[in-house]
Amino acid sequence: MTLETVLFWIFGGLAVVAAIATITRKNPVISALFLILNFGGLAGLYLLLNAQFIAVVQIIVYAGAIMVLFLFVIMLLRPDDEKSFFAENKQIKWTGIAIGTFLFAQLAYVIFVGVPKQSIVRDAQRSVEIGTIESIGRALFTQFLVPFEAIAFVLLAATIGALVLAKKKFD
Amino acid sequence: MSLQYFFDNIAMLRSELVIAVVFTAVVFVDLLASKKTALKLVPVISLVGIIAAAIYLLTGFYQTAGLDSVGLKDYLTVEPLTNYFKLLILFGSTFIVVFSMYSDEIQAISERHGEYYSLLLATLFGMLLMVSANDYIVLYISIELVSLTSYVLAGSMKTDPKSSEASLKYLLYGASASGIMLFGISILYGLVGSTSISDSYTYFSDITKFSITNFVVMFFILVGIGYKISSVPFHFWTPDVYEGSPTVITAMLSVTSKAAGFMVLIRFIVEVFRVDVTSNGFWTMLEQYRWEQIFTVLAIASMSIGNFAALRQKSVKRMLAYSSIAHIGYMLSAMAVLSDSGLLSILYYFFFYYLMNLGAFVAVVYVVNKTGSDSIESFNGIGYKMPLLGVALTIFLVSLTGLPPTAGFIGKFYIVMAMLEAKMIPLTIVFLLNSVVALYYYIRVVRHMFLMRSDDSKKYTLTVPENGILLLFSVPVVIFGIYFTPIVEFIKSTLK
Amino acid sequence: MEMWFAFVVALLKVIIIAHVVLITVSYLVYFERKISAWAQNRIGPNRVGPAGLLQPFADVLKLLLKEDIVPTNANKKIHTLAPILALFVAMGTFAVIPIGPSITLFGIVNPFVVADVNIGILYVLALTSIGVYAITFAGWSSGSKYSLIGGVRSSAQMISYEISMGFSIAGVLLFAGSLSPQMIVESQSGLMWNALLQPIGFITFVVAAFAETNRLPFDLPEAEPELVGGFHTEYSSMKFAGFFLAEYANMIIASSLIVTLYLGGWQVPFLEKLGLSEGVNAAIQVGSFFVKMGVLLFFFIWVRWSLPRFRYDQLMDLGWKVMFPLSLLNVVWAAVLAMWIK
Repeated sequence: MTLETVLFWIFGGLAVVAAIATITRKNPVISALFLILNFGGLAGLYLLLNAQFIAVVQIIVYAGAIMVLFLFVIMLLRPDDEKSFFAENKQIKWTGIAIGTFLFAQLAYVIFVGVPKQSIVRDAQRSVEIGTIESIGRALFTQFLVPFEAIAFVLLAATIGALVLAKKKFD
Repeated sequence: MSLQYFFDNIAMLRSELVIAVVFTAVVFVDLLASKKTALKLVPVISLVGIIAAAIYLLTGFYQTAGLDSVGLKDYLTVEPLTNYFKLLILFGSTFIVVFSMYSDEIQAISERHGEYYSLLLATLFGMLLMVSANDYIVLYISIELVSLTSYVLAGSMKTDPKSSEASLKYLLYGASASGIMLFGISILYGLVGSTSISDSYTYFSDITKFSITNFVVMFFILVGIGYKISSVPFHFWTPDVYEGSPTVITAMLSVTSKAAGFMVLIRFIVEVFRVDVTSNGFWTMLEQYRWEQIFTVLAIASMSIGNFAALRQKSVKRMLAYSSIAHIGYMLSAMAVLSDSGLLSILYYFFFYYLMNLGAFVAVVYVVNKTGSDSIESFNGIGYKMPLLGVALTIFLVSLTGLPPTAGFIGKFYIVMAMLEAKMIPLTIVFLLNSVVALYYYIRVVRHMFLMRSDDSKKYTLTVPENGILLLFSVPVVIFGIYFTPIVEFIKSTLK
Repeated sequence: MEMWFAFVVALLKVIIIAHVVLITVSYLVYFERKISAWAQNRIGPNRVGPAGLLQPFADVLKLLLKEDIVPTNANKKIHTLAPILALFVAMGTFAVIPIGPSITLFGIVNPFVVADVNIGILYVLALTSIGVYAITFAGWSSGSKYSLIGGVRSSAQMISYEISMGFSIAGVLLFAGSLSPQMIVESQSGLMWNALLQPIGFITFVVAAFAETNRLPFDLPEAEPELVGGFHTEYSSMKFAGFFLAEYANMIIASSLIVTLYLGGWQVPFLEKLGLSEGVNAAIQVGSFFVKMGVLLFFFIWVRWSLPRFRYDQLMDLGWKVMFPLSLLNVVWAAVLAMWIK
């Protein structure tokens, strides 16, 4: 086993265990904590794939920003006991399990069966180049300039929209 | 790689650029100008900006040359067809801004006008981009832009719980639909290795790579598009959202956003699944994906469910919501033909649909302004209280039914011709039967307007510009029902 | 063989840096007390050892020997996790901060940094964003209202100021053309210090750094008059020491980041003109890094004992309405300047 394989199993295992813990814990804060851990595992996997930028952004954006927001909501709203919620709405649990199984089966199918066998030639040098911030920045500001600028409008519009929905009174 | 090609080709995005500038200008004016000036200035800037964008678009309507070189071509398509759709969207948006200026619902939230108009322009920008999108990333971004702003616009009457409900329902459906679509896109990217829509043709056409995964991907992307055009079975959000939103926004959702969604559907089918066009205009498709059957089922379901559900509605806005589902069904049945004449008939239909649907909505806006309700009872006796409105709305409804001598008849006529050309007799029969069903609920409104007496004897009057807008829509609906050659010729020229 | 050598060198660097940081932290506490005494016209610690120099060790021993009290209401695991997380984040950041030029040792070029990664600055930002959790979890897991309010305040504050911090850094990156801290330092050779080229960005970054380290005037998460001790109200013994260490370690990080990003890092302007040997040069440069850092640390402490605390709404107003536009302005300025210079 190379170092890469060992690290893959460590990070992959971490991500899987954390993901399972996320959905099995009763306390939503603990679940959120495990979700953060899961993001950490994923970031490690991205690093192994030479995608440094995505790895760091995964931490900064998902673990650092989005999950803080989640925790905020959980801590401040103090959601009711989930147990009673599931006891009252039994079908939700089964729907969730059904959707989860479907998605899992689908992904497994796509990965193992659906894709016709093709010999993937991994160009190591190229994958290193693609993962760097420089090449991502270059792609964003040349080839994908219009979509990139369009995202700026999405964000601006979303900010305005959030203001409209959140603000009670306008002066 | 330099940015030179980008600046060389940026003029191809005429209307988008203008709208982007106007959007930013509105945001700034709203922030910097005093409250009173902003209130007056913002709608005017929006209106002038949209008209300017439309004129600028027309100056280079048939120009496709510059795009072929490099760069933008990879993810944006600019051709007369997309320009036609952009023109429709700009045309619709112009009147949506005008309606907003005359709608009491919107005037009541004047403290949020800056936000309202800037979101309207952002939606418009998203729709223009959506029409041109030839890359899944651009497509997804533009759909998100349109959706995010629409959620907020649907809930812009915050004091009305129905409006908030509409906003939330729209958000939940929209988020799931675009999530599913994104999932499909990501699987497709894994399969193809490129986000370009044209590139996925190479993958789908490879018979050795045919598998159930392809169907899953196809279906997932169809969910996203189907939600945007609200075809059955992705239509569940439509009635509630249409009913709760301000009437002007309902008009926008049922007209402009449908057009953008339909262009995406056309692009997806044509780019990914069309092999060739035969000399008599029929499309050779990738056999294994059976789009003809899919569209036939979707069309029949949309037409029937839309029309039969519309029969029992008490709210006129809800009725128009179901009727818009039915109209999407009509257009999907033209899509099922999978031929140039089918596509052309959709383009004709959209033009006429714009006129009559916008007209019908503006009439409803006026009635809601006066009576404060959109229930069918509130239309009692309207025909005598506001004769011009009564006559105009009758024209629109007759046209929506598809009776001669109105524009709606011409639209349906071309669809039926396209279907007969392809010898799709069963679908044609369902189509015609549905039109008969539609007649019942449209005429019901006319009956309430002219044959029922209202309880009170209030007098309503419309101002001159309000009447002018009604005439602006009702006269063309009648004229195009009789003399439609210029429109048909113009639309044909976009498909060259 | 070379791989093992690199491994050993890296390990050595980690050990050295960790010890330097820990000792600096303990003496930073001592200096904080001394400087506060000076600011308030007192004498400060002077009993343990000559001039009170052994005071830090006494403090640490005392904290180690105290009983560790966990409130009944607390979530024990997370309560323990929080200070560990805080320390981990604080120590982890040092990995990418260059404290000297590359020196050739046994035929191998050794950068004077634990890990010279090309995404160094993003790594720092990632760790800072993780740092929010330490305080949030500490606040939540204690099961006390003071802690919770402190924790929530802190996360809101850190998120708000991270934005202007990120934008200020963007200005620096525009000049350096790289995210590697080593490259950023090298791009400031001569007197091309970013603090001089983009003063607005420098100021916003320093202010944001104060907010990120929860130091006065931004210490609302632990505002004593309102919240007893804020997020660490319910902490005692070594766990409290963990937070304490982390706070001072964060100060050191903040000052070394300011030095790296804005004050030319380990560079001494025009040192190469003197024509000294490589070893002497390196020694002077490492020394200059520590001098710059020391001055900034003094500044941190000085500010703490000079300024009063913000009110919460003032803090948010400052963050969003002043700092954010200013840092955006700085990006524009930096872009124009970078275009003009290059």
